[in-house]
Order: sequence, then C-alpha cells, then structure tokens
Amino acid sequence: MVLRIVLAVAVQAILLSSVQAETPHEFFADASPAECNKCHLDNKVATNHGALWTLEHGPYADKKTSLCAACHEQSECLDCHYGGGIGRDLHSSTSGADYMPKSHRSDFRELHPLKAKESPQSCVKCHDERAYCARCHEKFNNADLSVLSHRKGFSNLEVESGGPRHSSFAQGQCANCHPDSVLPKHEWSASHAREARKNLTSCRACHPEGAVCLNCHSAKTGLGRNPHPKDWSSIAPKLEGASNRRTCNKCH
Amino acid sequence: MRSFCFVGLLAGLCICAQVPASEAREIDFKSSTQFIWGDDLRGDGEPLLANYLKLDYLKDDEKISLNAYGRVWKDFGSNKVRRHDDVFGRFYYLYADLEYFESTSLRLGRQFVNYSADSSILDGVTADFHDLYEHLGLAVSAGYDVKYGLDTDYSSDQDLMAGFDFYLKGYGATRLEVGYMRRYDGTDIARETFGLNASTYYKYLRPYTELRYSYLTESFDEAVIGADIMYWDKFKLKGEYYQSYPVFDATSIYSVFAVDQYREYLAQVDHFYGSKLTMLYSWKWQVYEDNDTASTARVGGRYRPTDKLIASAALDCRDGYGGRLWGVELYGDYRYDEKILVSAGMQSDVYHRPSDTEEWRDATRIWGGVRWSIKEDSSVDLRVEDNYNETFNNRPVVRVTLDVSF
Repeated sequence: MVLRIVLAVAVQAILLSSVQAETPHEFFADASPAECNKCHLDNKVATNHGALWTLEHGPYADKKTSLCAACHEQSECLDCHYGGGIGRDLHSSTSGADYMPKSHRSDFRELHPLKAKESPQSCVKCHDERAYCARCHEKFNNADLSVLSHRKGFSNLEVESGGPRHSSFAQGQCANCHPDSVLPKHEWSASHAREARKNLTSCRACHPEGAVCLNCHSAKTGLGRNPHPKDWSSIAPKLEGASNRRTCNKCH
Repeated sequence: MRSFCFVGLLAGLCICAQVPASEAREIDFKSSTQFIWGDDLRGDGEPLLANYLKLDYLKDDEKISLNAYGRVWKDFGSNKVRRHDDVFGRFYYLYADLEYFESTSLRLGRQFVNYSADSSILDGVTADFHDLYEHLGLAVSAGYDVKYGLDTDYSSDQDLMAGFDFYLKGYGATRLEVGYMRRYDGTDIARETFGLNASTYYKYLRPYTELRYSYLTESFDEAVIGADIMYWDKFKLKGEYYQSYPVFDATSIYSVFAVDQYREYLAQVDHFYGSKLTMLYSWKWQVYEDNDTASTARVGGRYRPTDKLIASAALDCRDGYGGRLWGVELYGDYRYDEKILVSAGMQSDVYHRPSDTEEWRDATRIWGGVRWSIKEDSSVDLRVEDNYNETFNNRPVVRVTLDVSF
C-alpha cells in the first residue's frame, strides 16, 4: 500500500516537474570522466559513472530513453552480462572464455554463496539456474554444501535409536507415522524452511525441477506439508489459469 | 551454439565485402583473437583459443543496417569442466535494422531488448514507433528467449516472450517508460509483468524509480525508489530503497512456494575534491524476514593526479545474515605514452560463512597487464593473473590478445 502511494506521488511529481533542457551527450563521447564531472558539478546535475557504477547503473541502463547510446555500444552491455570480450579492459578476468563483470572478484566461485544472499535475484539477471548453475552444483556432495539444513538431512535419520533409516521407507508411507504432517523434531524442517524462503532461487540451482521438494510438499503422497504463501487463495486462480493446471497437478 | 553460426557471420562479412563502393556506406569490423592459458576449476590445464567478432554495416541510404557480435572458441584442455571437444560458437546479437518508414523502425534477428517490464536477448522482431504522439513512442517486441549456459546457447519455440513499452522521450530531462511483458512456457503463460521506469531532474534533485510488478503473483518482483541530491558543490547524496520478491514461472513448481521479501536501504555520499579525487562512502542495511538483517559499509575513491594515471581503491565490510566479509580492491592504469598502457590490480577478501567452524577463509587475486597499440586500428594485450584461495595455492591465468579493426 505504501509503495502504491509513493508510486502515485512519484508519477505526479515527474509529470508536473519543470522541464529542464537536456544537452545532447553525443558531443562528449570522448570526454574524460573528470570533464564530465566538472560540467555536472558546475550545473548541480547529479553525476554518475562513479566508483560504484558497476553496481549502480541498473536503473539508468539503456532503456529506450537513456543516454547510454551516446557513448556506448550495445556490445559493451553484453560483454559484462553475457561474457563477451571484445571491449574488455586489462582489469577484466575470465572464466574460461567468459568474461566476468567486475563485481565477480577474488575467485567468485568462492565468494558467490555469500554474495547470493545479498539479493536473491542478483544472480538471475545474467545466469539461468538450469542452464548455468546446475551444471556445477549437481557435482556436489551434500556434505560439502554450506546450507545448514542439507548437512542434517533426514534420510539418514533412524526412526528410533537402532531402528531403520528414513531412506528405507517409500513416500507413500510417511503419513503412517506422521499423521497431519506433524514432525516430532522441528529443527531440520524449521531451518530448511527458513533457508528456502529466504533464497528459493539458490535451491533451484541444484534442484532445477524441484522433484525432491515433492517428497514432503505434495498433497498426493509424502508428508503433505503445505508450502503455499499466506495470500495463496488470492493468487492461486491466476497461477492455475496461466499454467493450465500443469503446476497444480504436480501435487494435487 | 553450433559452429555454423560462425560460418554465417563469416558469410555476412563476405557479402558485405562484395558490396560495391557506390552502395556501401560504412562497414565497421572488429576482431579480437585471444589465447587464454590457465587451470580450470579442477586444477587441470585449460588452454583455449577464442575469437570475438563484431560487425556493423550501414547501407548508403541509411535505411538498412546489419549488426552482429559473436564469438567462436575451442578448449584444448582437459574438458573435465566443458564436456565437448568441438569448436563452439555463440552469437550475442545478429540483427538487421530497417528504416523504410519515417517514424518507424524494424529490427529483425537476435537482439537485446531492455524494457521496463523485462529484459532479454531474444530471437525475434521489434517494431519501434518513434513519434506516436509528440514526445511519446511505442516499442513492441516478440520472439524466443535465448538462454546461455556454460558452453551452449539456445532458443526454443517453447520460450516465447512478447511485450511493449510506451516511452516518453525528448521531454526535457524527464524520462518515463511504462510497459508490459508476457513470457510463455509452451502454450501456457509463465509470467506477466508490468514495468515502470522514471526519472527526472528538478533543480538539484534527481528522483528515480524502477518498478516491476508480477500480475500473476500480485507482488512487486523488484522495486527501486531513490533520489540523488546535488545541493552542495562538493557533495552528492544518494538515498535508495530496494525490495525484491522472487517470482518464478507459473509452470515451475517453485511458483507455489512461500518466499520472503528482501529489502535494502542505502545511504551514500560522493565527495568531490576538485577534479582529481572522488571519494565514496556508503552504508547499506539489508533486511530479511524472521528478524534477520545484515549491513554492508563501503569506502572507496578514485584518484587522477595526471592525465596519464588513474588509481582506484575500495574497502568494504559486510556483517550479518549470510556471512561476514572484509574486502579490499586496488587497481590502476598508467599510460606510458600514446602506444603503451600499463595496468595492475589486486582484490583480496576474507570471509566467514555461518556454517564454517574453522577460522576465516581468504581469496586473493592479483594481476598485471600491458597494452601495446601497434597502429590506430590494432593492438596487442598481455595480461597475467594469479589466484590464491581455499582451493588453490596459486592458479595462474595468462591472456594474450590481438585486436584488429577497420
């Protein structure tokens, strides 16, 4: 609600604002950043292309109305976002033949699990989870993963001390011991749910089709735990119609 | 992508080369041949040879232009990471622009589209009606979404996407785009997104916003609202709010799961010390649900004492949910003369993830390089890099590049 009010005010402010003339930027395509800054500072017009431009340029980036094309070619966007290298500088590193943006630093393979938590959608702006992420992640053993709930998988848990492991049971037998989808110990399920809700995109990097999720979250078999959000009754009809019940039929 | 795409690009070049001088207006061609030698992610040698090609052709009457950008490469190494032994090609874009109508342009082929509602590289068509009404224009696109993997790219008739963007242009410094994009998975609708992108300059203030609203999940996929303030001569203030709510295709099982909203609050100060030095101070507060939070503080600067030298440095610190990280980055460029450019840099990070029982881990990368401009349209690069991290005591990468353009 607050966002909608802000949106309405913003649109009105923009449309009612005084129209400032804009200087065509094609004439300054070869200017140095220092020259650009001087003109902006002298006229009190907000500068850009600062030290954090790699992280800030998203809202400015070449829409139909931006000035980017005055100085930049489209290939420069793709060099960072899709691994091209024709416009690279000497600071750009590669992963094989793919050039990486400057935000991928210090062996990003080591750091990216931490960076991925900063914004769940930052990775998917350039990488498709199924075509890119799963190719590496499918090689991992569960014990090597940093996701806490994966180090305490229930499959190896014994039903009771000295009893059979959970992995020896079929999905259809879950409800025999867990009526109403209640688990006797909540540590694993609570931490797993917490991690998944915060970064479901990461789950998809290893489980691109989500088949393993249905072990517990299907209404037809397994544990039958409800995974839906609080506003499910409002959005369910739209998702059902859009997917022609294809998604619904996976669990119901 | 199959190597025939590279052949196709070469064919296009040959065709352009045969165009009589009386008909040709301008052909810009750039080639970058690169030999990269290093270790792959398993520590095995991975020498590879890559060639990036870019072509821009504009017919004399300026009504047709052809633009292409792609690469071809071969991995001579162990193939343990990349599974194939063939020469591989990839097109980033390959499209023709047609300007036969006064206020309408048509773009056909593989192209990058970036609308307020969504962005993609797609194999399709875009019609741009520049002057729909005074400052108002309309762009409409439809095509198949292209996906890039580790060593492949593909588009499928199952991944159709279509949308439009109304845009306000030439209305002073005010920019406004409102659009809609729909993605399909086969015959089913995967996503429906409305978008708004707006900014303006009002005296010393620059407010901006970028919103993407998912119709199917009734949520803002992403929202950015911020403002830059240039009231003082030497300072720029930025305040920004960002929120994200992951949205998945309606045909994906992940679309039915509950997810948490993510929010960021950013405060940033740019301090200009004349034209030679710019300092930046920023603090970001990250809010997850279940009372989890994190913060990232960053201090950085860019120094240009002369026209020949530029040096940059940044220090950032993150603490909170997801882990802790201290990182420093230093890099610079020195133009020795009009033909020689020397660059060097270093990135070093120490980090700790919540699940780590050991002490902090570290990762460092250092590099140095030189570019020799042989002539105005050709140059040679040499770059050497080494990496030290939890997996490798050292992992060198050497890159030699020959650039030619005409």
